[in-house]
Amino acid sequence: MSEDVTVIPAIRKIPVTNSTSNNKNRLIREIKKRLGFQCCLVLLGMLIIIAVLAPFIVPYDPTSTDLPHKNEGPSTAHFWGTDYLGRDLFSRTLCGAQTSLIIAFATVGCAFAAGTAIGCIAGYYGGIVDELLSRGIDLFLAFPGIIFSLALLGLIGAGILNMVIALTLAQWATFARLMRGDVLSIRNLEYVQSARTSGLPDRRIMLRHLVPNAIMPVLVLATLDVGSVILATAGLSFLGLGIPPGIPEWGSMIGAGKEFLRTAPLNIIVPGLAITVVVLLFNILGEGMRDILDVHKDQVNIE
Amino acid sequence: MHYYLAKRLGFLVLTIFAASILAFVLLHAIPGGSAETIARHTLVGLEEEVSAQMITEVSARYNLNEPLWMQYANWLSAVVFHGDLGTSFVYFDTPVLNLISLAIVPTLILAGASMLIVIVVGIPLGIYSAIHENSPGDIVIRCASVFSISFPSFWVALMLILFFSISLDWLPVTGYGTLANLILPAVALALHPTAVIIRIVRTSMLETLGQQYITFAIAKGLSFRRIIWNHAVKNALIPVVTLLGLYFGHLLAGTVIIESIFAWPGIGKLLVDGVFSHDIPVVTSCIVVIVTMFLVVNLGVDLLYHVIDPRIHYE
Repeated sequence: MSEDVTVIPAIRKIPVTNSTSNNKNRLIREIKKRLGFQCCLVLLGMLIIIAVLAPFIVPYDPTSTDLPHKNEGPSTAHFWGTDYLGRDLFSRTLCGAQTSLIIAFATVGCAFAAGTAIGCIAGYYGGIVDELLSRGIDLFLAFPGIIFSLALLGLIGAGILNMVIALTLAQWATFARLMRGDVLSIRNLEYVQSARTSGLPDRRIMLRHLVPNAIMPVLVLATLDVGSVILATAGLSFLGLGIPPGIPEWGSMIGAGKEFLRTAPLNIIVPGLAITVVVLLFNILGEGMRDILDVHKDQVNIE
Repeated sequence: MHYYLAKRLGFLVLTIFAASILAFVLLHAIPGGSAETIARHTLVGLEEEVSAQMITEVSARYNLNEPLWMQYANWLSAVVFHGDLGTSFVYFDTPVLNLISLAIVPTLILAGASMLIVIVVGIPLGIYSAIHENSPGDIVIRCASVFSISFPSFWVALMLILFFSISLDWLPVTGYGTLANLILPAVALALHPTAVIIRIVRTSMLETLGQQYITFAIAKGLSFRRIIWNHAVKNALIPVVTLLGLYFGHLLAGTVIIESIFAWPGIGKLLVDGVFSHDIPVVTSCIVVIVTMFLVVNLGVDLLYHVIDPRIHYE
């Protein structure tokens, strides 16, 4: 990893002003031009509604077992068949959406908040503060992928909160690195200097001037990161970590169903397709946002 | 250049050192690392009670009563001076070094094979996609790569098993040693990075084709083939090289899940098994080894960058 963040001067150099009506119109125009993006927004809206209402709209209790009817194919009673304990796969998949989205949103929210704060402080103060924080960021970035979460989660035990903690610790550094680079590229611009000369306290400069102007690429990264976090959650729970038994989750459904790959492949195919569709939607959303908000491609990319 | 190299090597060692502290302290400080949990996982079954005597025994055996920094200092000095990574709690006190040295070759084979697929498939498809922009071929490649990025790798692995091993009976499900065993895990692991690399190569290639020196080459009347291969591809692949280093890290992380599915005897499987049996010396060492491999590959790629692109100078 490069030790110095490359600063790509692609973010907005003109400060955000209060008269954003023009900007809003432009955004609406850009969104209207993209049919795929609109479809994606509608589908994601539906997904979130389904996830919120999942416990009320499912036809069967996702945890009630029915051993005489285990591993059945699709029928009128069970749309997508039943799993190895006779539980309704359709109901379990809907409830799994809730679990996945809660974990993904909580993780990305925490990582975004922590990363933005740390990156902003590092970029703004510079000097020894920046040096220390940057080394910290590099240290966390040295753990590839899910390695760090895996080790931590295995030892602190299962639980949705533990999952969020373990994933946040692995994710915040990416946000911090991007935010630091953005802040570095605008901290010496005239409007920041004049804010400093007029004696504003540092906290106010950061909150009112630096964060609003440097946040866009980080926001796009956050959207793209939802997909990666859903994949990471599924991967960890597939291994049997993080999600306590009893909570329906797509990864653990696949993990438990893999023993029945030969006899009842639906156990695996259904939740796998659910993960793919949801991750796909978030990736399309993120890439659409990147194009609409005009964030440079080199800055944020799916990993 | 020498100064730069020395500086980078210094940082490399420092980062590995810091990562080992982080991994060690984290894993020893949390409840899962207590003598009681270790005793439960190693001496008795999970349900049974652990007696006070067992706890004292385990603490004394693995020096768990000493302060954390003391434990770390002992561990580090053993690693640095004797190359001794400690002994496994679970595998009958086998030295961790033996376990790791047995596991590292399979992991490198798997990650290397996947990297080969990423390069051999990803780069040509990306170049093709860019040259034939908006042709049916390009659209198919783009759609396929968008989907491939969204597939969970472990699910792809199971689907491959379902199709090629169970339905068609062409390839073995698990095992290690023959080429047939390597194909499915390598493909499952390579799918996601390949899709990413296709997209990156395509973007980079399109950007290069818009440059003035390409227009100049066309104006000079060079053949299409010469323009693409001699002028465009060489320049377009420069940014891709650094990313390949980064994706090697992703492959290493991906082996954790893929090795567990295919029972591939590598570091990833060792790590997962270690996590489940609370075998802390094994977990710590696996993490340190993976981080080291990742950082070394990245440093190598950064230095290679200098060789391929003479425009870049390090102070």
